[in-house]
Amino acid sequence: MLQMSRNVAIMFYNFFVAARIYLSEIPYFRLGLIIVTAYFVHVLLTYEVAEIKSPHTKASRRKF
Amino acid sequence: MLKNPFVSTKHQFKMMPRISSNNAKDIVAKKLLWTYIGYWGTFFLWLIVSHNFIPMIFILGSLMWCAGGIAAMKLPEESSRIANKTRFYIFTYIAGLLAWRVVLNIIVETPVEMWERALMMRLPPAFASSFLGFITMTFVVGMFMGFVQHLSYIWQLFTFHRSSRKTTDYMDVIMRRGDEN
Repeated sequence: MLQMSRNVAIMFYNFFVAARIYLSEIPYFRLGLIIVTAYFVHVLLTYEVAEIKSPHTKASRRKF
Repeated sequence: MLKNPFVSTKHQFKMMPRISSNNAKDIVAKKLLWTYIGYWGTFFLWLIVSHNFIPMIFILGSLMWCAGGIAAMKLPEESSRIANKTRFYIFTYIAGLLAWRVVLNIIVETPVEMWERALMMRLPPAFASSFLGFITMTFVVGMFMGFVQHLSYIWQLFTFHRSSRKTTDYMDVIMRRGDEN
């Protein structure tokens, strides 16, 4: 159990190490494009979530 | 008179629709969970797959996401449908690229004798190279056409939307109810 928890902790730490290496290697252009795209994904997601949460007040019903 | 702070009447005057049954709440929660998983899963799948292809795939996919987002911002009535379609297009684009590469690997590793046996006919020795060229060209064409298909969808949204005056003007001319000059 102790060994497993240690392994999990090491994996958790290694995730950040790998992310740091990956982010240090990719160029700024690519990183910027990823951030901009993630913003637009977030925008699309919020529209879909608003539609699901309030189907009677959704924008698609307010056409006319 | 002192107001009791533990009895709130604010919720009685809300105009928001409230979901009363637990069954409906479960359905909404399930839908929300799958929406979150779907969007961020597609995003990370696109990141991973485009990292294993040429950088152009990454840029084309990014442009597809951004075009969908801008269209959803500009046309709020169609926003949820645009969002869903954008996610579907990008998922199929990425999955199609992966599947096509797997098929390409299988075809490349199959010798002409095997093709002859499979098709039960004699094939010219140039078959292998010509077939390989044809298959790779379809891959390249598909790589662009997935992108072009999504852009054409966005273009259609803007041109045939009722905020676009052009379509109604044409209709007025055709139906002879407007300015015919």
